[in-house]
Amino acid sequence: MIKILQVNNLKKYFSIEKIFSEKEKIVKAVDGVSFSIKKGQIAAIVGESGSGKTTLARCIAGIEIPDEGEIFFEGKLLDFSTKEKRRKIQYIFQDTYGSLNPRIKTGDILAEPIRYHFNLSGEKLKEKVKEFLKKVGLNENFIKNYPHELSGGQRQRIVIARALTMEPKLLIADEPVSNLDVSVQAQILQLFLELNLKDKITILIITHDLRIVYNLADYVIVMKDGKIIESGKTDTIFLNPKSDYTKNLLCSIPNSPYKNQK
Amino acid sequence: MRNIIEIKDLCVNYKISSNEKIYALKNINLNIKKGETVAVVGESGCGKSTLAVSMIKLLPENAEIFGSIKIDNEEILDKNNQQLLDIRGKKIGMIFQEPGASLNPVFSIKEQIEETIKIREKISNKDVLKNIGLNLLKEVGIKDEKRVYESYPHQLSGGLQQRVMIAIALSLSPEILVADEPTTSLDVTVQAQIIELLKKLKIKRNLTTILITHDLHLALELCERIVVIYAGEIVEDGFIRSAKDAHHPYTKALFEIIPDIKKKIKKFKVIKGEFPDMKENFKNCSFSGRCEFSKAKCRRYQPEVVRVGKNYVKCFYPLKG
Amino acid sequence: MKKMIWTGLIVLIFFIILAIFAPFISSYDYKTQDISLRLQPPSLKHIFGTDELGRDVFTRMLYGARVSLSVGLLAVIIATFIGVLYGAVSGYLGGVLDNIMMRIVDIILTIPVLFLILMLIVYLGPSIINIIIIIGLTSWTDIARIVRAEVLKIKNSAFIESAKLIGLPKRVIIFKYIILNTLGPILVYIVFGISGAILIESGLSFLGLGVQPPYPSWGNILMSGKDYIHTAWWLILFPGVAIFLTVFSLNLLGEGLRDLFNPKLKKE
Repeated sequence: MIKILQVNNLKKYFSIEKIFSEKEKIVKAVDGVSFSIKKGQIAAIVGESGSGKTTLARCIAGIEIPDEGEIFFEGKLLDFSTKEKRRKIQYIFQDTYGSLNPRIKTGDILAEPIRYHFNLSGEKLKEKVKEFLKKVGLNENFIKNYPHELSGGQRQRIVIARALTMEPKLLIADEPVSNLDVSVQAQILQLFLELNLKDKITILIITHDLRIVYNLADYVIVMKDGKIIESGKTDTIFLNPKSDYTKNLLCSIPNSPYKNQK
Repeated sequence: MRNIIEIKDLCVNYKISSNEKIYALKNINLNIKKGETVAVVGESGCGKSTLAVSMIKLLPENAEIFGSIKIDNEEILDKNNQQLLDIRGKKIGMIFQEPGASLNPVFSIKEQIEETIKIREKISNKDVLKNIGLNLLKEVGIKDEKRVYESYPHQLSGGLQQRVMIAIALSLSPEILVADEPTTSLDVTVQAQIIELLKKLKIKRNLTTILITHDLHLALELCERIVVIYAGEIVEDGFIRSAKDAHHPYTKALFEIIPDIKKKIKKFKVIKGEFPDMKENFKNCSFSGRCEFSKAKCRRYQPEVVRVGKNYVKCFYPLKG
Repeated sequence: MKKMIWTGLIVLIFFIILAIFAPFISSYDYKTQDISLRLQPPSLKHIFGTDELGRDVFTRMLYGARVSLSVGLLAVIIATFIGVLYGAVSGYLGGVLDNIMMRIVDIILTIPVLFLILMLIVYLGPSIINIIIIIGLTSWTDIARIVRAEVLKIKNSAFIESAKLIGLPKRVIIFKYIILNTLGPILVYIVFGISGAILIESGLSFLGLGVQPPYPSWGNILMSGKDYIHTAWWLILFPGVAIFLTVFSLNLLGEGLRDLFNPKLKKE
């Protein structure tokens, strides 16, 4: 299979200034990370808070500009200075409410990118909006709602639909279900599976929930303190974890079957 | 064993405007024995947190509360604020989801622990206080208790903050510990440590523990008895270990929608639809709209609680398991 | 919250209607003098009495409302225009320019505004147009700071990042995403700003530096009344009450709108 994404030695540091101290503290959010994702895969980056998994994803999506390293997308080296041109990589924010303009109705939220991307207007534009709503399992009545009138699951669907309007090849989702109730979580995860299967979209999911990873992802990357601890096929990582950190993570899952093996 | 908590026909409504109410809890009946470990499991907005704060009558002003809550045979709902002080902290200790938000950022851990003991236990000797405080921190598994004792909340990690909160909750030696989503904001590895700690404390202090959580597996980790709440009602109460023990369709669905890590299937079981509107007072089974087994009767009438095996189930057609 | 908005709005609309239909409500003229009728107490013929030159106070109040309200509104429109533009540019572009622009605001804020206004009026002459322009030019700094803070907050929000990721043009982002979301605070400022401007105008007129006779404004009716405070209470009471009611209802309205636009209160 062809690699859709290749990341080489990526680094992103942040400095934190303190008012009362001279010293600048440097946080190495991503510290020399290399990996690749094959086309059509669902990959997962797993890690605890502060592991740098979100920063890494934001670098790939072009929201942050990395300090060092290179990213190849579909074989082409990405230019970090043109960060707004990365349409084929779409990123779904963890905070779905914050990532929707509160003063625009959902219909317009979807219509805007379609208007500029497909050059459509009038009836054809409306048709296209409905098409995308249908794709994420919402009916057309939702076009009249404002974001705050939607439930968490519906908002997540709208955010996904908006990302899909760009016809992305790679969809990055940052903790897409962590704010949702379990009964709604499964609906959204099933949607990701379908997008991967039917629309052939490569998906990179960032999560701390290993149960989700096991059933969703083909490939797993375990991160800690800005570095990759371990990566490999999901079955290999779950059945035969090499690093102690991964083992510890697996044992920490509530009601974990790994605990007995310890 | 005697019941330490007896809740009878408890209803809690929140008034949100002159003609709208949220029916947070409906006809809750729950008995908990001394020393028992019970998990209350449900999705957000199902009323599980309301149940927790009802037990110490710490409800917001717009709440209406009916029914009866007895703790050690004493009616809680009749008590005034002064009398409730003897319950809060001394009978029931509580820990909450956001340890960072529950701690006062401008006081050190020492001051926050000692203040409660000083006022409530009327101890004023500084050395005695410090001794009690340090011992509490040691008991909740903090190794460098001397450093933590002098620290301020923001200097501690989320896990340490939650341990401090547990120490404060235990400072007046309560018989009951209510933990409302105690690990939701924590990392998995830290979560596992906190759960281990709760297990140890429950045995050492013979605590009656009530865990409020949305995570069924977390509940299974700590508790034998599981109480499942859906839309303000207890739909199932009993000893559940896996989907096989579940007699209510919602409990079964809860097990099935959470991905398994024993068997990989690459498919997520979905409960159709959305959580119901709590502003409605249901005349039928609240889960009937989403239930895969629902029949006409379920959509028209409200089921009674029936006994199936060891469990109590609120369903017309309980699953055989 | 809704009560505050409605109370404020009703009082204001009442005053605005009076001001607009002044010639139909009163049969008198605001500048016709009749010394024989000077300082008449309120009666059925002159419900608010007459002033020292025998003019009907009620009529002068009606026309005064036109002057006071329009000075308030127009001055604030000027201030809002400058302030929104200045704050939005400063916040959106950021960096060194933002730093320079905000330091300029800090310097302007060190000048006591009232003395600046007095000086400019003495220098330029007290006409209605001058008063509007001067109040407008001296009170845009607050709104510039409010708009800058809002723009900064919105600029770093996830929905702006998302809009960039789906490739929306810059003008759409600026107008539909940034400005649309700052409208709430701007509207609140406008309401408070009008009440502030009305007070400044009344103060200037009272000092004799505002609207010049024979044009009436609530401030200069009050001023002409101050010499007769012991004999003609109506010259002080009615314009005083009018200023009080207008400013009070504007503040109620502003307070109510601020709560209405607070998304945290809205979500509950």
